[in-house]
Amino acid sequence: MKNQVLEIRNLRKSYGSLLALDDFSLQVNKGEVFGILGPNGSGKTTTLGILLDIIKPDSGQYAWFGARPFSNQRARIGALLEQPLFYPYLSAVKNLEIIADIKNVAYGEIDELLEKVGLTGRKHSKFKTYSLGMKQRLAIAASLIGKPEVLILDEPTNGLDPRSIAEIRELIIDIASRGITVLLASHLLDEVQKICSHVAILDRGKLLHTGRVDEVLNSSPMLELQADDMRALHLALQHSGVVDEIVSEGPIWLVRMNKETGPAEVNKMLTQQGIYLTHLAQRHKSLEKHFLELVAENHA
Amino acid sequence: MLRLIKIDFKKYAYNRTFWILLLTYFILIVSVFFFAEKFLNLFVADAKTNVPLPVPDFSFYSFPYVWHNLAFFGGFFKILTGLIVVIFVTNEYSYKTIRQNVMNGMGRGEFLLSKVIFAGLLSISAALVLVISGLILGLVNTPELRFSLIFTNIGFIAAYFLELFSFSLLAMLIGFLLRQSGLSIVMLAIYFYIAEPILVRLLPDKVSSFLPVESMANLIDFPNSELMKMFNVNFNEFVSLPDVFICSFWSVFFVGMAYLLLRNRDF
Ligand SMILES: Nc1ncnc2c1ncn2[C@@H]1O[C@H](COP(=O)(O)OP(=O)(O)O)[C@@H](O)[C@H]1O
Ligand SMILES: [Mg+2]
Repeated sequence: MKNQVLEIRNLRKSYGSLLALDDFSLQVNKGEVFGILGPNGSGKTTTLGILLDIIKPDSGQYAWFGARPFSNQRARIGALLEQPLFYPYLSAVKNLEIIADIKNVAYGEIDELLEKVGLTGRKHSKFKTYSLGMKQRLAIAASLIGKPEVLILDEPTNGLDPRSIAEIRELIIDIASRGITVLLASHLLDEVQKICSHVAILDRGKLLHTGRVDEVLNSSPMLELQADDMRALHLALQHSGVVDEIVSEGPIWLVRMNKETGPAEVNKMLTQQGIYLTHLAQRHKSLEKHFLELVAENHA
Repeated sequence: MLRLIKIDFKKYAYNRTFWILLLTYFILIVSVFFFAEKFLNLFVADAKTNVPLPVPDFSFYSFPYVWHNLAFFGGFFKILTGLIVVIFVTNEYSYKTIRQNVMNGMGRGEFLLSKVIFAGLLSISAALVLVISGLILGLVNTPELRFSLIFTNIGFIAAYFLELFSFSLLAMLIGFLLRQSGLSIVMLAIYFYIAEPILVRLLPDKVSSFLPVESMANLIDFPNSELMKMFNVNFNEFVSLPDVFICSFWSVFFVGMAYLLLRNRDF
């Protein structure tokens, strides 16, 4: 399979008596923006650490680009793990040169990358003089050295101010739009929802769910409906045969349609019966809700 | 290998602590080399006042004895090169840059190799200081200079290198094992100054001569002087070949242990 970038099979890792990762399997294909979503301590960093050979699993395998892991492969992978790791006494430029040397690529792109993350003005300052936000930006620049085919990002917006968070998300979306496969670990639902095409939900080291983000989102759309005559609306909906559930929520009816019926059909049907909607909106069952349900099940 | 040297060069070349430590070591060792004779002759002068025999001055710097003498006294300061190695191995843990290096594509074995190379280059530089000091001192102090004299006994230079290198590898292993600079330095010092000397006392000579630091020290025996010859005390005037083998064995052992540690551990 040429398209498969990463295959993880039955990874298990324990720290003493704590099972941090339990029989974890996953496939990631080229071009996907794959989110690993889970609360703190669910095993996200452990998973990414194993994929980068800095943590040894107890058992299980993984394959990058269809081959057994070896160190040279990691030159094709850009990574940011947990916190930015650099030599505090070296400048940004020197730190990036070391990474370029490790990956065996030329220094040519370093200036451009520093420009991209907005560090040009401070590129000769020592790393230890950087603010947290600047350190995180440098880590992002570092992960892009050598034009990686895969980008691994572990909580890339952790501890940043809202503006930097927005900028970094933009940057990730931009990177992903160029066909680079992204593996993003986050405990932030909206981050995964905004950036990712696919999601794996992880809790206490167990994979609870995996699939496309929009499938998870669209698994059960709800419609918010309102008309001048709410009783007539209710009656019409009840007899339409396409409605699974009607709930009153303040001034509106919250309606769960069966799978095939979209908002346009509902509108058309009601108009034909002389009921004109004053409000029609689609409400996704949020990833958050789905996530919380899954986690609650796992804890039950 | 060039790639590894290039990577490590940046780690040290722009580090002030590294240069301070290295310079301190060089200044200290050169002072030891240049003042050792004066120092020893103080004792000889002292001995002269108490001994009725005519005691000759210590001919410390003339070729070919200079190599043996300098190598012997320089060997006492190998703890300093060991210290530099420990500091820069444990730094990679305290900055967590070992994680960063490996995740960016350095193999675990490559990382180890880069530190072995560092220990090697450091020991080579120290040996070069010995060569330069020895040449200067020998040229100035040899009464009847002959070319062949200069190259007699240069095996001591190689032995000096081996002594420093194998000790640096021990320091490297302790750094990888303990990962924390303060703790590693203390353990290295305890082993060097306390643990092994006690073991040497307790064990019979046949056994204790196989201990690492002991074998490193035995590589280069106490230099003979005219004074000692007068008292019929004779030390080995050549590099001790069995100890070359024992030291080499320990060097390989330290690297092997470090490799096993690195191969199986999380960073
Ligand atoms: N080096 C370690 N030693 C002991 N426990 C650890 C270690 N690293 C992680 N853990 C534990 O393993 C679990 C998973 O951690 P981690 O993978 O960091 O989770 P996440 O990145 O999802 O927050 C947590 O319970 C954490 O406390
Ligand atoms: Mg984490």
